[in-house]
Amino acid sequence: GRTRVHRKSSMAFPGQSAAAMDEAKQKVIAEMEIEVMTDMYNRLTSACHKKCISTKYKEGELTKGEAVCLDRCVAKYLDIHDRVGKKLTTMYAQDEAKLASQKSQ
Amino acid sequence: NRSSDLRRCGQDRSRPVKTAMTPNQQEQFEMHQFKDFLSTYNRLSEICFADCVNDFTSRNVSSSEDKCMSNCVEKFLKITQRASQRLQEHQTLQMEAMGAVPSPTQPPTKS
Repeated sequence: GRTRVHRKSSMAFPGQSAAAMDEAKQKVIAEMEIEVMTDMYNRLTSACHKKCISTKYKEGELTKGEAVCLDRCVAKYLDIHDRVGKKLTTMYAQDEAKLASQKSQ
Repeated sequence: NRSSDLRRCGQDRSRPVKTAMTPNQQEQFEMHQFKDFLSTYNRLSEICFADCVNDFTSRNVSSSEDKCMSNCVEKFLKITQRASQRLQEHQTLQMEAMGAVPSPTQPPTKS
């Protein structure tokens, strides 16, 4: 059985301690993170393939040029990904501020 | 706190919640919205990268690429908002046609 100290139960999950719920929630978030990172990786790979790899496929090996392009492409994609995230949070924050000021009028 | 900022994103506070949800449903709904937001984030990165970045002589993002990315994100959000408005209008019309919802006495507001 569980040897954890029971904090007060949640009304939504009767019989569940709050600590157990946090744990379940953490697990969901961790799984979500893996899924999201995998998706990001797949899109990154696809994007850089389009940008850097000739579709003539003259050979199976990466040319020097393709390899260098890929390195730069990955670096740039990750940079753009970060900037998009920052921009999104900024814009959502602006939206929320606007809504809040509208409601208070 | 970046992660809590990200968690708040994607929650549409402009529409009031019409039906009551249990705390459990509310939490699941928020999780779903958060997941949705993350998925949009990934798609948006891919789109804006594809359209804005074409110079691979360097690994640094240039200021013009950065400006393009910024405009790309703004446009995308406006696209989703506008498409959502049009969709709501369309669905309202459909429901009126089916007789499920009475026609409004005033003309629809323009936005």
